[in-house]
Amino acid sequence: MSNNDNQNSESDLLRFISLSLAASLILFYFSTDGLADDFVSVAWMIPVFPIVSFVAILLFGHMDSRKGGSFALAGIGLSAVFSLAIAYDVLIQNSLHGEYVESTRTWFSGATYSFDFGTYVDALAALLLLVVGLVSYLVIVFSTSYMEEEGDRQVRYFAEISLFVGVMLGLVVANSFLLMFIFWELVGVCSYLLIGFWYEKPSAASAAKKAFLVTRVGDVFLLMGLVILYSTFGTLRYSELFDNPEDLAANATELKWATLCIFGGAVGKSAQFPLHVWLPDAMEGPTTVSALIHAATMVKAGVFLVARAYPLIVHSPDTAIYIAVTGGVTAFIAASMAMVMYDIKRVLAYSTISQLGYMFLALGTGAWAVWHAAENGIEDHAQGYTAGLFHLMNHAFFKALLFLGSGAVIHSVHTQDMREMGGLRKGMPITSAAMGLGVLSIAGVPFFSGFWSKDEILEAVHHNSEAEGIFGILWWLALLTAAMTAFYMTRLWMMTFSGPENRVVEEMVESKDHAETGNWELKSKTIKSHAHEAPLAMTAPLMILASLAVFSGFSLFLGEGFGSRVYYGHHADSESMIQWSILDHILTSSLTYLSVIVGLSGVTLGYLFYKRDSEGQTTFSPAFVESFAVTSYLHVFLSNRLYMSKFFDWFGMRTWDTVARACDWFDIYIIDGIVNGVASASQFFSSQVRKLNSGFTGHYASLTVGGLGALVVITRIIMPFMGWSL
Amino acid sequence: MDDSIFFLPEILMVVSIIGIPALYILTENNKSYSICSNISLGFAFMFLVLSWYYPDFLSLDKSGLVSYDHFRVDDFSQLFKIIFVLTALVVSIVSTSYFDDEEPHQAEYYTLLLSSTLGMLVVASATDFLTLFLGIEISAFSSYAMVAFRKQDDKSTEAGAKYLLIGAFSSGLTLYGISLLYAITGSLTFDGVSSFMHGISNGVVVGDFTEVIFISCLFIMAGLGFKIAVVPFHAWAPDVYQGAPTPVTTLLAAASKAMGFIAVFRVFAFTLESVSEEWKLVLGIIALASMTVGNLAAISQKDIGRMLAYSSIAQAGYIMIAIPALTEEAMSGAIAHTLVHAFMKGGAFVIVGCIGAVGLGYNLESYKGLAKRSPLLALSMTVCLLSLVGIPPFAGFISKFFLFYGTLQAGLAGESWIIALVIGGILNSALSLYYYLKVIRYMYLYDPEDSGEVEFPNSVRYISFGVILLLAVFFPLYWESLFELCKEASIALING
Repeated sequence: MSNNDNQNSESDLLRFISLSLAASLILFYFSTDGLADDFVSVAWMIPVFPIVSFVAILLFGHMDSRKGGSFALAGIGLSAVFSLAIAYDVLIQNSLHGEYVESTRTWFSGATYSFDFGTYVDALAALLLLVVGLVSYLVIVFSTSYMEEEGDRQVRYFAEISLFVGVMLGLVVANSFLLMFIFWELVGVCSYLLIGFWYEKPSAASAAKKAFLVTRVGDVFLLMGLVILYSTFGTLRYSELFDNPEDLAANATELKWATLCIFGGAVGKSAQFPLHVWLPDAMEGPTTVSALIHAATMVKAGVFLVARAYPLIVHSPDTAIYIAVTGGVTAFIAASMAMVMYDIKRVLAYSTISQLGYMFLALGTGAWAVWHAAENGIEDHAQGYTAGLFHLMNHAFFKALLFLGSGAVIHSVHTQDMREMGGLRKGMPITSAAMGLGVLSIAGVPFFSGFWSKDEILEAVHHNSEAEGIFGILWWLALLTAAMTAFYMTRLWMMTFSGPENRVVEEMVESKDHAETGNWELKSKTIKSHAHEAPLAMTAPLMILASLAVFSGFSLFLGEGFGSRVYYGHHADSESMIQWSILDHILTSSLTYLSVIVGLSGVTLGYLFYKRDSEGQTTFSPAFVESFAVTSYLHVFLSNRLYMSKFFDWFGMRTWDTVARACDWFDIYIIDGIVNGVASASQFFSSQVRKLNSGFTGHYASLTVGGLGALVVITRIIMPFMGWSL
Repeated sequence: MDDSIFFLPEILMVVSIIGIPALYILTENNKSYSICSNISLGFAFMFLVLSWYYPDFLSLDKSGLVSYDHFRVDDFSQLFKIIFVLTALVVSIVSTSYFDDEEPHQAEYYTLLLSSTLGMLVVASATDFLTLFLGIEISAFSSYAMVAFRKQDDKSTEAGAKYLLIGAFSSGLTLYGISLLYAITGSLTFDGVSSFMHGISNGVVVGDFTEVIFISCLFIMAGLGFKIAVVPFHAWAPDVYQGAPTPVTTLLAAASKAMGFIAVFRVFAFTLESVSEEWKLVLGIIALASMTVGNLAAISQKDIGRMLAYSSIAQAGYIMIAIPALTEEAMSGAIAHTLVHAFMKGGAFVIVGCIGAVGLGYNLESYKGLAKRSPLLALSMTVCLLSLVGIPPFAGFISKFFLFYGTLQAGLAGESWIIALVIGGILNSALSLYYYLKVIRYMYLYDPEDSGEVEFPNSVRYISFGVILLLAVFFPLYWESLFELCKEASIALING
């Protein structure tokens, strides 16, 4: 019976999805009717749809049979259709020819400043629209099924997630740093709400707080950067800032500090070293939220910000190198920590940090190359820019896939600890296959999407190392990271899916005489996996994402190629030459074969170490690590996440806590004292003033006359006496 | 026909003032009276909005004005007439759900409502003291009877009697002030008096009139101060607001108060503008006293009607600070805040009336858990209250900002003591947060005292939804157009 119900609701959902998408298409057709050559002008509607559905869910969500899911599906579906149409127009039809389209309106204006809001669409924005629109929509479809057990709380979930997607899309299409900053902060608020979705869990509440506070550190830097920009150039509009390269070049020092501060914002939002600590904890939210944060919305905002600020960064080589170094170091550290985690979501979280590091490495490399070329008058293009954004797109697909897949796994086995999993392959064939493809892709196995972008990044970094030594070190770091990535992702898949369905686990249990002696004993028991395949609403997005994860890399050569649309500056060669030269680089360079070998050996090691035997035990046991002093210390060091959180706690307790205590004392005794004093004084006067109203009409009349008299006395006697006059 | 079409709102009022008693002879059905009054107010409203937005439609020259001897139609008057008619319409609609069908004397009630509105319309267009006084009295006498409308209710009768006595007393004071002015100027029109005053300041008119003008200013202020309820002429307001049937309170708090302000603007900002040294200080002191006393007294009120009455007194104090500043910006801020105040205070009283009418009571306690009973009403009340405090982005913030900003500019440019008024206003706004937020806290953070189901009338729902739209969406988005309107009105006022 319940099965039947499920199927009914399932087909209902599918019908709703297809209908809403069809409606979106029709609406899109009509709203762009008459401006067929200019889809971009409807870009402002993209963030509006989810925000409207946010309001609608809050007001009417309880009446919806899917508890607001329908509104979210419809609103984000509309955005997705519009986003994809714009992405098609810009990236495939090449309607902008590398230029941008801006439309703007004035909200309010003062004597010296006017606040404009509007949209700014170029290839970068179109790419982000594609990624955010598509991935968010798939996540929402997944959520309608994944969150079903939450009951009425789904209303809050869908409302918050709609707002989250809406403000992220707004951030992408905003036309000034100020508007972008407003959305940026809203993204932070939404992530706080969603990470703390299960706020009754202390860990979730503190994770939400941690995410909010840590990213706030970055936000303060970003705001400082914007203040520097505004005080130097008098505007925060992209078009006005970017169209004056001479003006920018003339203020190189200010730009250096401004871009460093802006990158500080990106470090916070995109969880780069040393502000990466919030992201692994952010796993306390629902897995769909993690998927959204990691693949489409939150952390990609930082990468987007750096790419958006590229015209500024290329004037400051210091910033470019700083970005590249931060990216490279973060990629390496995060990958090393990912190797020792047992929580499936934490592994993915560290892998996200590491992959984001890759993107920043690429962006920093590209910016430095542009600066270097301009300085020495050589023809060079920002290969790193294209590579970084290419990796952003590919990563969005395979990371969304991996997170949603892990969500399906968690949904099915109700644990996040990989040691308690294993043997899920038979129970969840679609999920395991889809996640397998994701793993191969992120590991950089040739011809999967991750391979192309990773090699392009390595290539760009290596290219720079000929001119600047530090990029050589970064290249080695990146290569090592590639090996580690391949290793820990294989480990994740092997631990989760391989092995027999039944396996023996040992656990400490209270012995029979525990009450008297307090003894524990080791007991082994056999557990049978109850894993079952997730419903279609959850597997369909997985399959779509899996095919994207496999094939999105080929967009490098499709048509005129990815690099001929998403690039910075001007191409030295003709557009079609670019893609062949990239392909040529990748396929013929010996470096590529090196990275492929490194990647494959990572996969092999992972397979050999973590293959579960017939009893469900991995070949490689922690005992091996613990038997060597060095590896054991390393393991503890990494497991404790480099003691970074502990260090922050220690540091915070020594420094800020003292300041905070002093402030607290001041607040309680001085401020509160004043406030309470004012309050009780007000109460006292209030009761006195009240007595003026006795209720006797005669008194009121005398009050009037007395008041008149008092006015005369004040103005004619007291004031002249005191020597006051107007 | 020609220009007399501009009398249409007044004509509509007069026709229905005669029509409703006539209807009473024909039918005993209480609904018919309210329908009649709704229709005439609705038509008047539509006409005013049309003549406002499409001046061509009625060949009203927007830049100029239509002027008869004692009656003028200009940007200033039309703007306020829209407010009066709209408020009266809302009151008329709400009254149907407030009074039972069995309530006697409903025909009289609606007749009085319309005649009160008629008086306000006359005040908005008055160009001399006599017409102004007449308009005020038409409106006042109707409202005396409306306040005492529930004869069986002791509080209502007591409030009516108090209102009548103090009102008559104040009218006497006003009349005395006007007669003093007439005695020295020999004119009753605003233009005539104004040119005499200009004569004094230019030295054309010889003689020392300082004391006479000062005394007449004081007396006129006393009379008008009664209408706008400022300290020390405010004492009637809490009793009357509490005792009167709440729809009538809505009319008093929203429309009648705005009417008083029109009179104050016309008399002080236009007519007596050139002898401003005389009265500026008086008005400044009244403004400061008014906001301080109003806010302080509001803090310890338990009855929401009384609390809102004191808040009204405080708001009148805020508006008053613009008049000594006497600049176009300050005046348009004052006009904007008067308009917005009519909406937010009217909206709050509509909800108070509704809560009282469904039997929950007028006490602060009865607002506990309102958000659970009706999220819409609670939200609307919250928007009104936050708007009254002046929290962004609600309409009250915008108008108050203009008011303070315009006044501050005047203070910075010239007389520095005006800055003290602005500072007083800002400190008082902070103080007022306390008692407004208390209501919001009661509505959202507490559970209802009894869990009984309460049905709220639909008309109130629609009105409160409209209030939310207006205060939280429409004004904040289109404040620039709002400000333009107020600026035009203040130009029309100051230039005469």
